[in-house]
Amino acid sequence: MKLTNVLGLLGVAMYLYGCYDGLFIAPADRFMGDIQRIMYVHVPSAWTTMVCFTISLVAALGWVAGLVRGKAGDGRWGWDDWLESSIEVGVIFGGLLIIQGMIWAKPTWGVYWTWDPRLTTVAVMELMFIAVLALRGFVEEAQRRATWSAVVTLVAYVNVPLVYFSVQWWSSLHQAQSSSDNVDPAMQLPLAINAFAVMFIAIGLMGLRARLAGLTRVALLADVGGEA
Amino acid sequence: MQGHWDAVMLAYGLTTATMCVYLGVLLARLRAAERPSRPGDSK
Amino acid sequence: MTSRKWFAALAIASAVGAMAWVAFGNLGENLVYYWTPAELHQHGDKAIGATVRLGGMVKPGSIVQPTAGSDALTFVVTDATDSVIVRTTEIPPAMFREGIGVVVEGTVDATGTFQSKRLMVKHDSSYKAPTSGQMPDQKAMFGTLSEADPKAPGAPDPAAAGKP
Repeated sequence: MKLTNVLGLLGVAMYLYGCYDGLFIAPADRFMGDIQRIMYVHVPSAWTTMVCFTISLVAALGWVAGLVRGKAGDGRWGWDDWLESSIEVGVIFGGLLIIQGMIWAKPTWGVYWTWDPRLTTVAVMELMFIAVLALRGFVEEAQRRATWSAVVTLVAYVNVPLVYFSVQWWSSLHQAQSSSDNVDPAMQLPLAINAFAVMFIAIGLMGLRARLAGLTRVALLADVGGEA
Repeated sequence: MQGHWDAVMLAYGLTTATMCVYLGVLLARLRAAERPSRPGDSK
Repeated sequence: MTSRKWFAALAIASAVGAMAWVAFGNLGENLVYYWTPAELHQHGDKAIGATVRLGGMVKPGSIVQPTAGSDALTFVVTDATDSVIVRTTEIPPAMFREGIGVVVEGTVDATGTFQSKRLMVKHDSSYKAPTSGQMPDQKAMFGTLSEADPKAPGAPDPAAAGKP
């Protein structure tokens, strides 16, 4: 079986255990209570979103490098398939991240949303990558679509370190990253399990989505009478 | 702070359901794409 | 092929340039989400009347709950050096208590009191299981609030002792 499918299935198994641990075994936070358990999906979603967009960056670089080297033939298209799939999966987990955050924020911070540096940079990042998907919808010719989306992805990726470091560089409502020093050990386990689980699930989904992108492109080019 | 289990379950439920739905859509579209097409098919 | 190479090189150069700007440009000065009490006082009279955000820690012992005579909750927001009196008629979030971080939106009136229209609680990055109480370490609380010392331990709150 394909590696991405194996990882995806492993991720599902880990996710089931991680959620069970996080919901029923791990203690609740001493101040926040049970609402803190959202951390076991929220933090993994954040991590996964950034990993997906980093894969998009690598795919964009791979495509552009192929252009520069003037490589002809089918070898290049894998980069574009993974660019499309990683951005789509990243946008999905980014959307989940924002919704989970809002659910967590209302009872704790007192508001569903505020334009603090973390939330603002996440919103901008999400919108930029949605824009790349929109761009791909606009450009019909496969070669041009791949090049344009790769270029815009290179720029859009600037948002990712901005998001990560926003809570350290600027005063914000969102707290800074936790470390193993200030997270209870009994909470660290489900957090770590789900962090890998959600990432593995995303990898499995990206593998399927990349395959779909490749099949769609081949069919499209066959219809048009061009080469893949 | 007490309770909020409904909020927790909403967050977990939405996350899990979204992943399941997306997987289902992908598998369905893959099956359609891998089916050999006959002449005259528009998709 | 040459024009494509130039195009690709330009695109990569733009991306690298953008990242370098992010890394080394002084973005921080332009992106202020809230003022600390010290920063609010530094702005002096300019701060009066404008809608601003103030962030800091709720000074222990400063919370005065609304009474029959006055429907306003008052408390003091403090950083390591300065304090500001805050007055609000909003119901605070459940986590509001002494020693916790807050960010309030509102205006400073002529007496220097911050009239708050929105009260948000900022919790730190520590997540701990409940334990029996010890006195909170105020210096450690300042540390976790400003994130200047992320390794400062979040101390248990004596008010939480005995509660799940």
